[in-house]
Amino acid sequence: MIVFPYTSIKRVNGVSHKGPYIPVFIRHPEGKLLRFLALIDSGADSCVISKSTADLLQIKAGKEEETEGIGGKAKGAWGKFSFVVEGEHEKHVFNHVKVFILQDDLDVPILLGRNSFFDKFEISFIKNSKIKIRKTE
Amino acid sequence: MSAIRRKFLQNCNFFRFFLENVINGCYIFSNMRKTDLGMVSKLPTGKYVGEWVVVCDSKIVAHSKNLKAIEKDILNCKSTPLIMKVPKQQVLLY
Repeated sequence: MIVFPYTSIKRVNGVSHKGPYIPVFIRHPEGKLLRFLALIDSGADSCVISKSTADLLQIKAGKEEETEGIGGKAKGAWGKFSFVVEGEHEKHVFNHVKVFILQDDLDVPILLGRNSFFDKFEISFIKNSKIKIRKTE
Repeated sequence: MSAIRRKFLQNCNFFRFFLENVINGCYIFSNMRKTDLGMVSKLPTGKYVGEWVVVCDSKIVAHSKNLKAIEKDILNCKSTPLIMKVPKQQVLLY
């Protein structure tokens, strides 16, 4: 089991907000290992990234599609990316995960949705405290 | 309790204390890269709301609305950079 504390990020006027962010490791095409702060989103069907993230990681996008969420409609395309979630004693590699790349550079971090991420884990949110990730397979 | 026995127990306690702390210390240090996100709350991210921020060695080294624009800063970081989006003030609906 991997346990991550809720991450507190300062917004305007130094007010901090805690959220279920976890660090994910992604390899840049030039070989450098990058650590992104990704938001676990139980409401999203799939993983979502912004266009600038896809550009940085050189993720190839497929045919343009439209998707709908609680925030409204958004255009984008499907692509694939790989990432690693690593805790103190465990490491889980996610290869070629289907990801929706938003066409407009909307204000989103990397969102880890249900497909491919939640499928393999039992995830417990302990409000404003910690996130427990336990492998189910 | 004899003086020799007391001395022996004192030495045992010292070694136990020493071993526990050295082993734990090494273990914590080896995992710091993976788990240390406590420093995120101390960063002055409030200035960069809605932007991507690159943190290298616990310091903000670059920020931009476009991640590709700060690619050089990301790649120039000697350690593993932490890349994060600073959320806006309002309630987030994704």
